[in-house]
Amino acid sequence: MSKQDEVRENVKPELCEEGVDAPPPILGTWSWFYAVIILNTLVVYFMLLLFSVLTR
Amino acid sequence: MQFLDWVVVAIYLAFVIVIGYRTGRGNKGLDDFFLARRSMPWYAIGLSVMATQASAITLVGTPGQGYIQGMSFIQVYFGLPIAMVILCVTLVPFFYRSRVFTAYEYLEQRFDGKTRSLTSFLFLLGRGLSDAVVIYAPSVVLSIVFGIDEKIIILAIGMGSTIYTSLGGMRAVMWVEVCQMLIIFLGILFCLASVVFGLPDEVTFMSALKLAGSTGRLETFDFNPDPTVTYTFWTGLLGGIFLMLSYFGCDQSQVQRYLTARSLTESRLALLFSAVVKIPMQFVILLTGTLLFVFYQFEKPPVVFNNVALERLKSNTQHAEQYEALQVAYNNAFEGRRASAETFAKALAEGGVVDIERQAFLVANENFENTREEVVELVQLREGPSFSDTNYVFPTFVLTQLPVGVMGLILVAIFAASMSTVESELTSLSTVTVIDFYRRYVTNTETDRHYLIISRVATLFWGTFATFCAFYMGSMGSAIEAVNRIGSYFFGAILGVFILALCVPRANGHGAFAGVAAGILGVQFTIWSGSSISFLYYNLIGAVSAIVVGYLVSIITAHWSNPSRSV
Repeated sequence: MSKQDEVRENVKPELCEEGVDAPPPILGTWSWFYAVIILNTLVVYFMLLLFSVLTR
Repeated sequence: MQFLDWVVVAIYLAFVIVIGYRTGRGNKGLDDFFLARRSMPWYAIGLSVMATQASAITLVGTPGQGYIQGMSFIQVYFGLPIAMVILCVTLVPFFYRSRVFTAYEYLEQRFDGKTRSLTSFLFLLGRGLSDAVVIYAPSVVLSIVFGIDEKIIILAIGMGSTIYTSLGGMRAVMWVEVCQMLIIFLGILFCLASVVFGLPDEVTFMSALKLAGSTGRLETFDFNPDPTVTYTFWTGLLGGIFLMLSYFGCDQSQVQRYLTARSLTESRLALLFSAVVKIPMQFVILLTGTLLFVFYQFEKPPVVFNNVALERLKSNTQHAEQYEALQVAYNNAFEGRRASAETFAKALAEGGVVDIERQAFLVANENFENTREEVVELVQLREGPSFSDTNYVFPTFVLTQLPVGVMGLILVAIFAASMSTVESELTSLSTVTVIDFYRRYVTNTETDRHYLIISRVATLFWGTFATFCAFYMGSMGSAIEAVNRIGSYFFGAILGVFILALCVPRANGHGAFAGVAAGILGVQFTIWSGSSISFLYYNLIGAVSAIVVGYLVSIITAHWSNPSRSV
């Protein structure tokens, strides 16, 4: 059994399921992270709109 | 195609088979073979998700869309980021924590065996047939444009993918897809650079954008509320959300990707990565096509990009004379448009008021497009009304304008796009076959080794089946389109059942089963009624029909599952 396999075998099931469901470290909570993704999407929409207007 | 291009293609094929073999070594059981032992990092899953979605026709046809219709196609993806966030909050945690192999397995945990089997069967039907189209469609285009035998391309894509998928399983497929997606990114950037550097010296990048923009090709938003217009902001947002929810939430070829994550966090990050990258990527592909339009202002494009159809038209004595006359008119229209485009570009570079030059260019462009349209109509008389040369624009540019070696790289990117979709479908088809049928109905007490062999056999079966079907697709005519669309009739209904499972506690197995049937019938009824509603709404119609009927049937049959209540 390789070292990697040993580590996997020893991982506790609860860690595989919910324990490591930590939010990304940069934003603290998932809600904030989703908010940033939505905000990013809105910015992309705006940039596309601006692109269309400026190149008419 | 020169020798160097073939060397590039050969290196690629050898590379993916070696990577597939090396990364897939040591598979011991189903968890290894189908879920890469749930050990994949988020960036690999994210790239794999994108590679699965990007088929060769996406890579070949999207620049063609940009060339002919402009950037409005990008609106199809407007719902994607929102759908990804919804999935991260709802379905992804459920699937991940249920420790399932397939999305449909969860439906048995929540409802019953018949709902699981029905949805699994629909998946096998839809994806099993569409896999052949995924192999066949780019093979036709590549064989016509590059002059390679169609059967050789079908074999290279179909059996090439099958070999390393059956050898390496999911881990091999995903790492190969990471490489393939990087090749696709590289190919896209090379193409964009080739088009930009291929423009005449006096045409700046901004002038090129203004030239394309003056014809309306850079319009990325259409707020028309008419549901029959295919690409609008509303169809893209509302229809697109349901389309993407269905595809990423209920299609095993995508669900299986994020089930391989080493944690739920990584599953979510993978989908959100795709949410952030997808629209900019499509933007670059469409922009390449739109700039091709500018490129062909100064370089004469073929009157029809599908040269085989054009040759057939020329050899037809009935239309030959008419074609000759149109060809002369086309040449004149092109020269007129080139002159006005040069004047317009020069005026743009100098600055100031350019209204007169712009107007003259638009008139010349309209004249050119009308002449080309007349030729296309003539081709349609011979090839049928569905003839379109959109998919041939980009490969023709690659073949005629790119230097040796780069052409091979772009061909490899097209191969990579095709193979990445094929291998994902193969892994998902074999997973559903083994988990939802073989292990469910035949035997569930065998050893890991037994299931591993069965999984490899299932992968080989589906790969051979898809390749075999692809060989005969050419004689299927309009049936190909029906086969290609078959999945879009099911996945809305399946999404409706998943919504019932998660959001309606009273929903039961009878309701879910009836909901699937109602969802499919709802979409079929919409099509049969002759409604010209945009296809982007099909998943919404299917999901709503499934939820409404599923809920009503669940209420009516509530006492069937629990007879004591009716006493």
